Amino acid sequence: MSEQAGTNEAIVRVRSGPLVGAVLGRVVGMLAARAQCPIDRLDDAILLTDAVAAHAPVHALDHHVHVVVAADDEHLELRVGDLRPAGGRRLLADGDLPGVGNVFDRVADDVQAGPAPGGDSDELILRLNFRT
Amino acid sequence: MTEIAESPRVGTETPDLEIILPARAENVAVVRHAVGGLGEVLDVDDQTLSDIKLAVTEACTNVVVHAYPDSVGPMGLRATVDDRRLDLVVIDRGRGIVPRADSPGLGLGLPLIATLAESLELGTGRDEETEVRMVFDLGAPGPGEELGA
Repeated sequence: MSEQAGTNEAIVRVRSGPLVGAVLGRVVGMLAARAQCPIDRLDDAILLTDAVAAHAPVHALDHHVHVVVAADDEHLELRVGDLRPAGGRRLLADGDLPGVGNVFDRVADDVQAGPAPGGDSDELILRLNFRT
Repeated sequence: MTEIAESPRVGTETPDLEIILPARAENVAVVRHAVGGLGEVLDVDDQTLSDIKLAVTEACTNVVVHAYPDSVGPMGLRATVDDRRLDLVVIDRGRGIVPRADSPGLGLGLPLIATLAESLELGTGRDEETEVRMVFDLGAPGPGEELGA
């Protein structure tokens, strides 16, 4: 757990199902608000969270969605972990919307998908910058 | 009936929800808000949800105030639902629940939790973490309520 001054970090692990969106959205919203996230970026953060809640359960290793939410004065990061092999890229691909493009790519400032450190699982990292 | 018991080992094995945050005052509200989401999904009536949120707030506040006198450590919540019974465990890795002569509080937190919950247990978890375990009866389910995928 990070204890760096100014950084707040929540580790959230939720059983797949309706609880994922209900809990994750609240945690992300609270941490973003505490970090003085601008309102337009808060909206983006909730959009990303909803997309993660909708699609991550299919790719989760153990029927639980695991997300590390980190926020500071400059950015918000969602690290969706414990995904099946190739689950990061598949979750990213699930964000494709016809006529719109990929919601993760369009909304987040930085998107990384691939094996997690240690190599036992995959992860998708989404980063939102508060200031451009 | 509410009972307070000392237990050498309490904890949930496969929680439906687990949140771990730094034990800071601002994060008590985060946990409380997350519990609100849990109550919404489980279709818990307002009074019961209010009791649950108050009990969790008290337990988390105890962690922030007492667990780490000179530093900031982790504060966790584990929630497991089984047949309209909600098991909540608030966890820390601090110095444990010990009498404190210089306590800044009134000492009403745990008695309040004991009043609100069906049962309350204080103990030590598998990894020597301090656990405050609360059980709530969620009452009759609403139509269509289902937690799992």
